Amino acid sequence: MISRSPWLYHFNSGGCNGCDIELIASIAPGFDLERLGCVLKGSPRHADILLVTGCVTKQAEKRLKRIYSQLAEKKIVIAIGSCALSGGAFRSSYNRAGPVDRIIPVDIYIPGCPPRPQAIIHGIKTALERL
Amino acid sequence: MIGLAFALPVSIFFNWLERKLRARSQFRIGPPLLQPIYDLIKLFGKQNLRNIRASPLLSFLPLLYLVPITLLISRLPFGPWPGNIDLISIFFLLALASISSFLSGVLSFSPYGYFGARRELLQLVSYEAPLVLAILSPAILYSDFFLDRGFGFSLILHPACLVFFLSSLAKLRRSPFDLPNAIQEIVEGPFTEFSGPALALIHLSEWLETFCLSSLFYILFIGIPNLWLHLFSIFCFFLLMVLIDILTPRWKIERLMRFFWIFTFPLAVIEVGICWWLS
Repeated sequence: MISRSPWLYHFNSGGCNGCDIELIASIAPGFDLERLGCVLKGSPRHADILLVTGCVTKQAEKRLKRIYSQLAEKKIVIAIGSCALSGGAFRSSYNRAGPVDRIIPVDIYIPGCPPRPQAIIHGIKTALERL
Repeated sequence: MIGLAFALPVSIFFNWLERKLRARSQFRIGPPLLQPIYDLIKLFGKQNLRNIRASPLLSFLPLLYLVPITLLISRLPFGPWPGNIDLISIFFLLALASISSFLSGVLSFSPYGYFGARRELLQLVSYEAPLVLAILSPAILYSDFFLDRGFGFSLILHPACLVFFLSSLAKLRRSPFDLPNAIQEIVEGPFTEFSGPALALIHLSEWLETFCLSSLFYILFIGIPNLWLHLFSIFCFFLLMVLIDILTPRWKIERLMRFFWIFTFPLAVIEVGICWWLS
């Protein structure tokens, strides 16, 4: 039933905020993810899908692991944006702990700098169809 | 028991309606009709995470919320069917539901839960006295403390209606009195640490509590033994509550306490006095 009511939890692991704005745009009136049953939740314990944006900084690494462990099974992780996928503009930065999939298992990758809301919705939809 | 058979589908429908109205008011399309059922089934199928530092009692607290509310709904009169409950039990069961949400905040050992619980308690102190007095006024007017059927309609009771409505807004944690689970400030307040089946039970009890208070409003202040009138009144109560919820911003706790102790409580006391004098 997760495919009918996926609840989202959003974690910015140290990006420039561009992907976050696009993510909010996909939930806000123009695109309205609630049509798919998605609700943005404040607590990872309530959520099914973890949306990670930003290159993971060394400080955010431990927090990302903790948040991942606080999601109840079954859980899906979606990495959003070039930084989360490969480091992007921050690739050679001294305080980067690596792309998201080096720290926690990732199910869906959404490329783009930042990805458009349509791409984010397509990514979430693909994740739900693969369940 | 017949009330309970109506309560479940009606409260699930109301939850969908609330989300749909909220979405339409923000120019969104909103969730499909069966969304609350999907949510519940999903939550029941999920893992029940437990915080190691939290008290083991925490797993029973959703039941302490759900059981009083279901007991209350099953005993209240509904439409033409008579009830079997007295007012003292109503006060007790309603307070038990609030106490359980306070306890789940304190015992969950989370800062958000702790702040939610503190706000819940401050809010309880504010609305409980006016709520009890508003329920008492028709009982004093008709000199009857046993609810086997609804009380009658009376013009004298209009201030009590207002007090009951405002207090139940605070009791159901609706905006402008949604301080205990203010999502933008303290995540979900007392219910932050719950997941899976426990969270499903909490959501279910919240929806049933809404149904319970709107049903109680009809029984206390209108009380005509007619099923359709009863359902229509519940619908109107709910609609007004959701509209206020959508349209108003959250108040600060000082303003809430001042409002309840300076405006609502004296109004309720005067109302009880008038009812006592008239009876």
